[in-house]
Amino acid sequence: MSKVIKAIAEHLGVDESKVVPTAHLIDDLDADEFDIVEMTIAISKATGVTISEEDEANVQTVGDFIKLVEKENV
Amino acid sequence: MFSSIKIAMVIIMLAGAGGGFMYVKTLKSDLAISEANNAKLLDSVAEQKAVIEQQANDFKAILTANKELEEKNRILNKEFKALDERFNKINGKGEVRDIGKLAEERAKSVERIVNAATKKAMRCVEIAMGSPLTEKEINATKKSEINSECPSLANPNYVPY
Repeated sequence: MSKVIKAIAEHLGVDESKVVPTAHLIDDLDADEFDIVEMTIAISKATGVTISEEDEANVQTVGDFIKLVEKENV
Repeated sequence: MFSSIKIAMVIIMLAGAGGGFMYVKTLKSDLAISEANNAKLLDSVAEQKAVIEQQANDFKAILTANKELEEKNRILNKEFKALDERFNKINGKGEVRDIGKLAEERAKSVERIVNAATKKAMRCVEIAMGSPLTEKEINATKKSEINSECPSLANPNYVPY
């Protein structure tokens, strides 16, 4: 979870305290659609988990990324 | 001798009365003309006042329209900048976005984004050509709900800047 939060915070240049599971990537963290793709790559590199493009299309919040990583790690 | 003086005096008096009569008649005529001219002038002043008032209102309307245009121009410039930045955005690490590289790594994702943006852009054209806004477009207030290609056209309740 911390790796996901760190990757998102680093990519968007925001404080980690703002990157909470309920935070909406576009509405709360001011990301755009390309940011989500770039963050998927960054998270994959940071966690070693591959996130499919289909799953990525449904990502809206920080929690969605965390769930995808945790699902693959289980 | 005395009677001829009387006659002369009567003639002089009659001539004076006649002259006076003519003078008063001319005065009356002049007065009537002056009154008519005065009425015309008053009408003209009223018309001029109305014209000045209309010009003042027109000037106010022009100033308001100019202000609105300046605001629209400011928003459009922001939108243009935002669109431009989308392809050259610098992330938190200071890296500049590379769409080509991204398309190589995540082709389907980039295709999905481009297709969605194309659909949104076509909707912008529809709206610009007079298509009415949908309830969803009118009620959109969040960045994730808007038409990111032309929010100032499509989403009147979205306050981005």
